[in-house]
Amino acid sequence: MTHTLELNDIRKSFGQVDVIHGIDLAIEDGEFVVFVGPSGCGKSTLLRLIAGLDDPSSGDILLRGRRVNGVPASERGLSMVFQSYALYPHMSVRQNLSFGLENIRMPREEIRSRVEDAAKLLQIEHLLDRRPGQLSGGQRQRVAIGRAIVREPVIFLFDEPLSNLDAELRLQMRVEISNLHAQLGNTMIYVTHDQIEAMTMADRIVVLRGGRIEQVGRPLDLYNHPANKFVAGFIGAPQMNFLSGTLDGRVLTLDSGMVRDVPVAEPGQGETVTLGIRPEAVGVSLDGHGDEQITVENYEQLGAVTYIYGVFPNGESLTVQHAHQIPLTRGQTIGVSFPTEAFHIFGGAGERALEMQR
Amino acid sequence: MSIATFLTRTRGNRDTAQPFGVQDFLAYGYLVLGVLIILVPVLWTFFSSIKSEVAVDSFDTRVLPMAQVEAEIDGVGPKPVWIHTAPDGTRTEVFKAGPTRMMTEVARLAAPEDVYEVPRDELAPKEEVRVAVENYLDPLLKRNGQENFHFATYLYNSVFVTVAATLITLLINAMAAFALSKYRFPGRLTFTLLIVATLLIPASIILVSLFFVVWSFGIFGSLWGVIIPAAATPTGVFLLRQYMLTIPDELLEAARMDAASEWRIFWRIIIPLSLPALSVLAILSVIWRWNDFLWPLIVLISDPNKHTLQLGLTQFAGEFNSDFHYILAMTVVTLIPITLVFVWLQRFITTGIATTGLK
Repeated sequence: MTHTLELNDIRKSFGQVDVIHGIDLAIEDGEFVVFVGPSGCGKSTLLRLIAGLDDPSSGDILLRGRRVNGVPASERGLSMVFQSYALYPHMSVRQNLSFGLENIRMPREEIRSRVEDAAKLLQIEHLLDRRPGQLSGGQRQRVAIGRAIVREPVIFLFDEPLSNLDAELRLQMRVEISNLHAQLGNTMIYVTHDQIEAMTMADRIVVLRGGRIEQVGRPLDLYNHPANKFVAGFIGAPQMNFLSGTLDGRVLTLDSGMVRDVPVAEPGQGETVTLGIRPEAVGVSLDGHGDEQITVENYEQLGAVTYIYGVFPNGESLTVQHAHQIPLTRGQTIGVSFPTEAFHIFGGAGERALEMQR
Repeated sequence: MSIATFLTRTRGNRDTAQPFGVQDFLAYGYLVLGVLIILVPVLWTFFSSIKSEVAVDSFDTRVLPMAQVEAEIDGVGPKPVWIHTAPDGTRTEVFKAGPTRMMTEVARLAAPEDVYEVPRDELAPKEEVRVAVENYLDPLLKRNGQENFHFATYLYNSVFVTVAATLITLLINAMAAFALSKYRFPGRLTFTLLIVATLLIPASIILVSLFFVVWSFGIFGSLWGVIIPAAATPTGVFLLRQYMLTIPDELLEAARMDAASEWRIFWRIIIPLSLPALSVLAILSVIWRWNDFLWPLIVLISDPNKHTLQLGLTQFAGEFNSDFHYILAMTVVTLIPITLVFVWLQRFITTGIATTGLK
């Protein structure tokens, strides 16, 4: 079968600087795919290549099986929501929404009904005669999405659309965009640097770093089985704890002192490895029992959860997420326990996760 | 509160206000000077244009249009009225019955036959304030031997040249500026610099070569010979380019995603958003073309039916005699349209800036 979008060995360089180093990816019809990564990882560039606003230096872009390299953005039939919204400031909201339809010479009546349907869907009917300058941030965001919807595009492209909104509005729009996807069923590609947006909205997440794909997968697969230390650290908040140690055979010795048998598929040769363990997997005992002891440096009581920031005697730090309220004081020593089934072990300077026998 | 206190008040309340100091004095002085430099010649032209021919020719520097009274004398005809002040202070209204000499023959208005002699320096003209509307009406209505001044033709030619040249200037300069500001191609900076560098070449240097170009295109002697050479101005391209650089590229990209062709982007996005800069250029272009003299003189001199207003004004200035009262009056008339254009366009400059609603 043909995919909605296929990227084959896409590379892009600006002058001497290589930004994208060969990306292969296939996106199915109706999927919600999120490109996530730190700033400068090339995720926006990749989106612009798909949109047709830039041309790749090499590689093929296939839309529904047709090669579209060199086809201008105006002829690809995609639509995009920009980070700055990029609404036309001199046009009313209605004109903003109809501009794209007028360009493809759609009959007036149909433009009218499509604009009104989109306005109803996004609850911006009462704003149709206003100018973008008279709208709040959230309203502009809706208009920008509306402008994308009316075209009924093959793929929606979102370029960090929520980064200009305040926290509360961001949460609300996140839910609305997810609902919109469920309602419209279109393919959507969404670029963000916020892993929470990626985790909550995506069918599939593409983690990018330095112009390369680090891992592609469903949100929980990425969370439970990160392919390397970068993905493990990037997905999930608070960040996964990383403790260094050595792996000799199937015995893991942490620098902080703990020794544990681990069910790795391939026995180690005494090399340096990194143990990753998520904050919520760490057990806490106030009376000091457990695999190790840490000194509480700081803590945050949020009611439902408690975050504990502690240090090992050897100086490595550890974050613990505890699901209950517990009495704590700074400088107190508490015991922590590490369940083996929650271990992620990364070898080769963190570049790959070692397979476990489970 | 005295006027001086009122005028020297400064912002803030009793505790925070700075006193009116030397700096304020200099600033206001500078501004007032600027106003005077710009306003005085215009007002002077206007007040001179409503003075009588005699007053203009005798360099009468009074602001108000004073003219000598004329009276109809029985059996003599119209004569200027003089006031004779005798050594004892009695004043008599008289007219000159003979040529002006040390002792001039005069007669009272009531008794024209009774001629007597008075010293010349005891005579002063009897004057009244009179607006010399004939300065305006004679050329406009072709009265008093002014048949050769075809105001309607000149006005039509001037308006045609100005409007056509301005429209073409705006279109060509906007397209050039769009390309130079929004498209990336090798040498775009070089092209910009080349265009701006032509500002350094004075018009009089290229006059002869421009003449040959216009002549070889067969538009010499026609209004298009004035319009087309003036269409592309480096100032306009530079001004518009600098303004268009401030239009965010994302707007253009959004339009491309909206399936707009580059031509549509130009008309529907770039032109409306550049209105403030375009109206500045429109004002400049209108002023340039309206006031243009040298080039229209070269191209259009041979055909009086093609003269613009500025060329028409030269008719009043002859080799031996210049009708300055007509020149002044017609100068005021030619100022009116350009003033109206400025009043109408200047609001676009300020309101246009307010429409940039991008966050």
